[in-house]
Amino acid sequence: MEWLLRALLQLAPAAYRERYGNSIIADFHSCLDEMRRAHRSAFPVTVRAVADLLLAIVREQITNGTRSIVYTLRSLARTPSVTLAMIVTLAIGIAANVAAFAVINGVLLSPLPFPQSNRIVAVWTKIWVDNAECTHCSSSLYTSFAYREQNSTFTSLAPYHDWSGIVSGDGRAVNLQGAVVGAQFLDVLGVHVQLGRGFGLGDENASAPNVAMISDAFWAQRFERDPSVIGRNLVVQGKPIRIIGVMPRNFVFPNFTRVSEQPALFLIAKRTDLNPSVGGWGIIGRLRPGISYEQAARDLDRIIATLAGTHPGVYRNDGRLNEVNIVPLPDDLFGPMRLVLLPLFGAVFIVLLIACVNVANLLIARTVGRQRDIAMRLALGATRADTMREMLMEALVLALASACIGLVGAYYAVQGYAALHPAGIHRIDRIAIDGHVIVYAVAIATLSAVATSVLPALVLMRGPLFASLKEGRFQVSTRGSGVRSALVVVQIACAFSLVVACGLLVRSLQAYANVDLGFNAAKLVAIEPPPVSAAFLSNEGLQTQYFERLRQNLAALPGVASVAYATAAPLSDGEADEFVNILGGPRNADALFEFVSPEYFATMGTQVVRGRAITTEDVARGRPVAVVNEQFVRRFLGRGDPIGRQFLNGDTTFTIVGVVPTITVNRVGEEAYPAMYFAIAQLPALWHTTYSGFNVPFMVRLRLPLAAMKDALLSAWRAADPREPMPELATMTQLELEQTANTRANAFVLGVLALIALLLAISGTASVAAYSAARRTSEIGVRMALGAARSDIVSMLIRGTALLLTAGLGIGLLLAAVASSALRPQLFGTPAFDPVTYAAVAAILIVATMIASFVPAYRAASIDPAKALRYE
Amino acid sequence: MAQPNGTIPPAALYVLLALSDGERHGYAIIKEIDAITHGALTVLPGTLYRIIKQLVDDGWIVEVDGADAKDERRRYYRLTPRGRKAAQTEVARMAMIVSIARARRLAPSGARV
Repeated sequence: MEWLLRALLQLAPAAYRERYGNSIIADFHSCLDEMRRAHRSAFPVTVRAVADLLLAIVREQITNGTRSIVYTLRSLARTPSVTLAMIVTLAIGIAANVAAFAVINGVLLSPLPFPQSNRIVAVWTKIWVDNAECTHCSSSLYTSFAYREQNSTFTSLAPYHDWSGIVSGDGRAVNLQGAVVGAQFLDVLGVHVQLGRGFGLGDENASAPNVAMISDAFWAQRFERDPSVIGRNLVVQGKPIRIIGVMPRNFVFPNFTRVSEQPALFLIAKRTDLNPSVGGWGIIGRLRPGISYEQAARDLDRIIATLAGTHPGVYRNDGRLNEVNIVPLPDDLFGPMRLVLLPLFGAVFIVLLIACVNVANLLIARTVGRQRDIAMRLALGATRADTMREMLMEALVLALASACIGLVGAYYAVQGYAALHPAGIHRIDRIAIDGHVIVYAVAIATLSAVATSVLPALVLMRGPLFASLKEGRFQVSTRGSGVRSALVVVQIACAFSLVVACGLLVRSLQAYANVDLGFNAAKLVAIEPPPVSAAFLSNEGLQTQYFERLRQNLAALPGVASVAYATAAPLSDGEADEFVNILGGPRNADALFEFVSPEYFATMGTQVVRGRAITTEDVARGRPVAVVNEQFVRRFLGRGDPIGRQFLNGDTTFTIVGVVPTITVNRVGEEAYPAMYFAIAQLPALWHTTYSGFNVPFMVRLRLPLAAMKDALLSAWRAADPREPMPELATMTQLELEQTANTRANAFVLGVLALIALLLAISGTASVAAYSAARRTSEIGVRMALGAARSDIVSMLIRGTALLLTAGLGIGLLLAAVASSALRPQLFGTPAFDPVTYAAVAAILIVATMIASFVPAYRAASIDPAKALRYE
Repeated sequence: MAQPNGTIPPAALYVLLALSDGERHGYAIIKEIDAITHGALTVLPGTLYRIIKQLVDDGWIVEVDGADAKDERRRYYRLTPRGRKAAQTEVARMAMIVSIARARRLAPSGARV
């Protein structure tokens, strides 16, 4: 059994093992001998001895460890200000890093709440328009049914669509967010209702009764979780709908992105009026086991090819067949977020690096200061390993203290980030300081501790130590100065790259702000209603009358300057396009087309630059006219007066009567689309076939802020027909801001990080400058005694820092180039290597570091030369 | 080996007692403690040397070279004056407790506690 004891002793602290290991073994043998002599079994004693040894070793290690920690704490407490500086610096670096990890952990890493979520895919359509590819185009309900019925690679497929509307019954009418989904929606997601039943294929028939599922939150809030809710009726948009099921608690479908709340009501997508060219639906599906994404895509492509046979205009564009784009649901959701969040993660690592460098610098200074102390202890028998272990222990204690503070800081940082409401980042509610994050914090703190203690240890261990015992009282050691300078270069480089990244985003924001939208966004409100009810579908006259009523109601309000409606609001995704043949020009010219009410351009604040708008006279005379935008003229009409030119759509010849500036359609700063505008009154038939079932956005120019007018607007809307759904209201300024929200959030976060990095780099530079000035004190004394002026001394000292600065900027340029390339997808109107930004940041860094090094240089130069000469 | 409140843990006190009448080596201390407690307390080598290490570091016992030639692997330990004093203080403290207990009839008078 001796081998067992010897093995256990390896776990013991060195002192215990070396001093008493042999004695323990010897006494154990004596014990065994005695047992043998007494003819007693040695087994119980052996077991107890082994257990006792193990226990003794554990307790010895604990005592050692505790003593070690107490020693470290006392040692750190001896230099309170330096220790505090180190803890604060590291805490900031760790806080930023942990916060970023918390965001990434919650948003990207936590799994989707669906079983086998990588078997769920989103089905998008790739369409070629104008030689450009739309890779994530929505599909029509018609197409989704075709997919479902003709596929061989999916177990289930379902379309889905956002919805909102008025729900009443039980007396209270509320405007609810909801969703319209296919019958197999829950099957695709692998989710089951908690009460009642889900949708079945039979519910899709037009003749089937109207049914719906409600969310758990709605069930709790409205029905107090009463189980008899199944079978009860709700009145939705004036029609009765029977509740058949309740969705499970905490059900979240992240792709309902346009609504800030999750749906309360789920309606079934019915097989009515399936028009292949009406898009707007998303599709999700669950793959059969063993089917790859490519196989599924090819399967659905085959279906499209079949459909193109009967509906060529829809499934073929620019002569090319539409293609299916299969994206696994996690990628569909997380892909765009990864683009945004991962560079941020890189940025916080840079900040942590700078913080660690600062702390390493401080540790080196501390170590150098304690050199004689350490040398003495080495002379008295401590080993180098002991000393290194002590330094590591110091760094660990520091790092763990910083980690605790850092975790608190990270908590607030995360709250702040969520408050920024970064657009396109979903699942913000899943960001929390949970177990994963704490483990990460400890790991990162340990890593930082090792990183920051390695360098001081190396500095110390290099070269003979006993020489330091002989150093005079005032001498400042030259040890470590090279390493510290190198570290400052690294800091400057990192700070440069971060500030450049932030600067590029700021420039992008500037560029966005300077874009000419083509209309006046001030106090302009877009009212986006959901689809009108079936009552209007059969009678085109009724629908236009409804719109006119709405327009008049709204226009009659005091506080409203003018009202108009059109088939697409700017900065939304509602436009449609058509092919026309220009007489005397290109055939099959593709342009956006919009129906607008007569007041449209006036309401938008868009000046007609040539000719005029469409008037009631044109309508009365029955001559089809159109207004086109400048991009249309530029692309299709060439030189000469556009007024009077004509183009053909179908059998109708249109005459151009006016030209307007290009209005932004989807995104601020997009490429300009050619567009044509028609009067609804002139083309009621075309209007009806294209737009029945859809509602049109209204544009309202207000005299007062939206907040003051909101209720009045909504009441006026309701008054036109109380059965119709209620719209969403948004100011154009709001929509504009929403589009840049992401860039703004990133710019802000990067700005904070860049500021931290800059401050850390400056403090690092200042401390190194002070250190090197102190090092040359005697030299300064000699020079001053020999007649050098203060300014000479200052410039001599600053030269050293200037060298570091140059090196730092050089490396920083490379780092910034890498960072800029990574940032390129998020930039707008700004080249990745924008000279203005780079030059400005370089200037900032130069000025900052020069000031930071000037102060210590000035103080060093102001020293009394006699005192300086006393330094050895 | 003083605790923060000034007392000595029982096992350590027994080691001091075992050394009170002369030098012993490790195994002999184990046997002696076994004897004086009539088998009630068995100190095994692992724990024993932990106590010895602490007592040596505190200066209450010292290591001396083996007296017997055949015990060359064994190290002998001897009580120092400081250690003797510490043991006496601890015993006196315990005696005081016992006498208070006797006065309040918590201990049978004259019994060995």
